[in-house]
Amino acid sequence: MARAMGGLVSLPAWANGWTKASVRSIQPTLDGAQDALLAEVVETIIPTTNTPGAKELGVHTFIQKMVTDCFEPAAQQSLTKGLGVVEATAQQRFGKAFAALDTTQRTDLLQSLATVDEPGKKDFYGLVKNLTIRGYLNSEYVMTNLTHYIMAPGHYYGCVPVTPNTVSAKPTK
Amino acid sequence: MSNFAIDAVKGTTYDAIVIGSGISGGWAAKELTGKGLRTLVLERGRDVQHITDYPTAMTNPWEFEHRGQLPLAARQQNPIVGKCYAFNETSEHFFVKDAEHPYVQEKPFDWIRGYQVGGKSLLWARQTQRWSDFDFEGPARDGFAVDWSRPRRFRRRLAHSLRRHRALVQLR
Repeated sequence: MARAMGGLVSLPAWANGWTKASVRSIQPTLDGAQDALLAEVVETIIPTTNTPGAKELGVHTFIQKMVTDCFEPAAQQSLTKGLGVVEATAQQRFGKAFAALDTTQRTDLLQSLATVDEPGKKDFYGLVKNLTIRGYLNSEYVMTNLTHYIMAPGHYYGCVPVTPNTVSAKPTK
Repeated sequence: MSNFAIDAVKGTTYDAIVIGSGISGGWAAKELTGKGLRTLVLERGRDVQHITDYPTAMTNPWEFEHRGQLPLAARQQNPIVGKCYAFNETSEHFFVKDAEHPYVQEKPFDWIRGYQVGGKSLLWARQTQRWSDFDFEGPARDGFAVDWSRPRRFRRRLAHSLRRHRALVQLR
């Protein structure tokens, strides 16, 4: 117990200042409509099943943060332009907003973008898909509940009960 | 008595002076002090306190604002140190930034530096290769530097040294 307490006390001061808000101080950079549309796009790529979808885990906000801070300006233009293309294509092909389409129509639309090498299509889909996977797999929910992240793996269990099965069998001649 | 500088020379005289506290200097100092030599270590960089000066050591991957990737501006400002694979959001605070200590490159030479107690040992990948005979014979085979495969006593000494130090750096 004393050792456990010692461990707690020696936690550095900066580690106690973490809150959900300070860790996730991410604001959307797209306007309201485009932010909502991007949320639907990422949800189409990784939908809610018996696990949360990309939208619920805030992957669309992560994408905006990454594109704004870490990518070339061209990627930012590609993102904005591509979202415009998504909405326009939805209206043109189905006469409805992307958000109002069913799953098959949404998937079909995104897949059609993925194959066309025009500005705002293939590059847009590649960028969004890539960042969706990255943001999803690196989210707290997935790393904690699904992939079970361990900060320092490979713990050595130095003291385990020995059963007859633990000892390997005698080699046969 | 304290006003008499009778011990001044003694107090500032050392058996060995080690310049730099990185992996080589730090190790040299450890060996020297271990043999009982009065050793002075000089380090140009700041002190790094165990635990409290490791700001990202306990940070979970999802807690990094950009999941470990550095913003574009930081990468553009550091074209040289940015070539090091480890220069990212988790460890950039231990690297010397390009603008802090610029230098002239007459020929391409990426000088990746860490100015602090421990130097770049704070940035190593915690992996080290066990050399085979093939590795030791490399210089002789390809005709550069000195032949590391002989004299054989050099290799024996190196093997002995490795055995001695392995536990200290927790190599398994």
